Amino acid sequence: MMFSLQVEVPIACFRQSRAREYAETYPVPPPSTVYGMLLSLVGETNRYRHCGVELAIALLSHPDKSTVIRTFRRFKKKEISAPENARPDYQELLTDVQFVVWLRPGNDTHPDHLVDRLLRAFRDPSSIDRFGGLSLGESRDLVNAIFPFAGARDDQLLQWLTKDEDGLLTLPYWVDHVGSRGTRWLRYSLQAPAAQPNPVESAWTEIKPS
Amino acid sequence: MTFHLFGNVLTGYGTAANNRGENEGNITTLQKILWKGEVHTTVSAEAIRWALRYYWQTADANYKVNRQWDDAANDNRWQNPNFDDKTFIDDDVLGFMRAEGAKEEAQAAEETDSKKKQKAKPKGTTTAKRGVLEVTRAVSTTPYVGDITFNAASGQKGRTSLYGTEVHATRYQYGFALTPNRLKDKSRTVAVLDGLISLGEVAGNHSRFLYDFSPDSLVLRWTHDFSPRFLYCYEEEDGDITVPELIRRVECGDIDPKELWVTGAIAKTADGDRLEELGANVLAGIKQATELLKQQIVRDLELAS
Repeated sequence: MMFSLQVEVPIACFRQSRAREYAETYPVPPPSTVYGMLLSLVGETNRYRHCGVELAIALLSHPDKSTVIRTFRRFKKKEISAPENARPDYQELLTDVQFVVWLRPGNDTHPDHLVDRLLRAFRDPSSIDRFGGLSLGESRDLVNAIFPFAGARDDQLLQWLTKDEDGLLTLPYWVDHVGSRGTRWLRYSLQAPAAQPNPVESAWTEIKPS
Repeated sequence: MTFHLFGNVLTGYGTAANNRGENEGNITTLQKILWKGEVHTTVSAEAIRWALRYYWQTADANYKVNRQWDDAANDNRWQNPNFDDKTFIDDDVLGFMRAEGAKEEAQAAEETDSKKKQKAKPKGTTTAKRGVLEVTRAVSTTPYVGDITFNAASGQKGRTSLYGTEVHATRYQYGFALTPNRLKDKSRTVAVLDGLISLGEVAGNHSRFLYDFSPDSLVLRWTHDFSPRFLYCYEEEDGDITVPELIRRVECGDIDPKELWVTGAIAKTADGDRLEELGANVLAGIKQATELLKQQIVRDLELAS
């Protein structure tokens, strides 16, 4: 069973895993980020719950990239108000991020698949017990709209994110929140815009911690 | 069953300038982003959240605020550095983080069965609560055309006395989201609404500029839906404000008009009339509209009124 959702995010930053002072953004939301957003949508706080689920991502828009300066907080001194704990750094932002995410259960062994939970959530939003603004990436980067994908319009082309051993994009599909030893990456390519309506096999990524 | 409060705020028209300590030579710059293919100015979500906290600190309403701004010292002062979201409104609504990395994951991989014995929280020293109120970045409704004022410092003149300030005569729009169920004290939803319709000053440089961030137009949505669907819905052309995307989403059934509260200047426009025709709650007075919505929130959340 396959299910697809269209997502609109007006402003977002998908900070590169290895970025330091200059917070560069990936040009496309990484699978791990999209998975986290979908868990948040159904109110699931245990990210291991649906390991094995498979995602495929395609961009619908061509996001513009901007650079702003902002305060980043970090831990240097125990005294919370110590000036060393905050410093201004540059951050890249994407505007007008629109994409489609396809899901299939894959190896999601939970009796109540993530796909089923999402289907239920859209049938009856009031049945979902969730919290926080639905965001993609940072919590202030709110998702404006998410809804079942009705298929691309005649004038809409999709930019598929596909696994590619020689691809220039290295994206995380699982993130270790303690250090980075457990973070898992794959190499991808963002294909040229095409009228390809369904994911090819190389577009699917299994979400798993190993 | 979870209620969400979403809002989209449009400020009045004013001259915006900023002083964040970032200069290009002797020019104080504005933050800019590419928006719909053009350069627009922007104000960070952090600046808006700061202003909301300052409103609670200075409003005569007995709000207990943990992180208080000390005007004399020009710095923040915490009443309780260990945080307390029961006592302090800002800890509850805006969240907090005392960032010392946790030493292990909050969930172990084998902990997927909720019936298994819950492990104790990892012994990291992170004290964190995600903010219940999310605020988006504010974006100008019109592109920035590059206005700069040239100024001279008063008194004795030196090498650095002459300076320039980027200024943008515009309106800003920003959105917010709040899930009251996550608040320790759900009645604080009312304080959030009161604060957001009363923000007087946001962003820097107010020794020279007063830019009113209170809403000139406001759209609110009280709903079970996960997403607002109307962020950045205001469009400005030749000074006229319209909300075509909001109307489209109501007309096609993506937004239930009964969940909408449309108020302020937009209420007295053709778009306001159209939204009223479609079934939205349209009122000219922002204070009156938020009062009525607050009554609905109190009923739906079964709060003591």
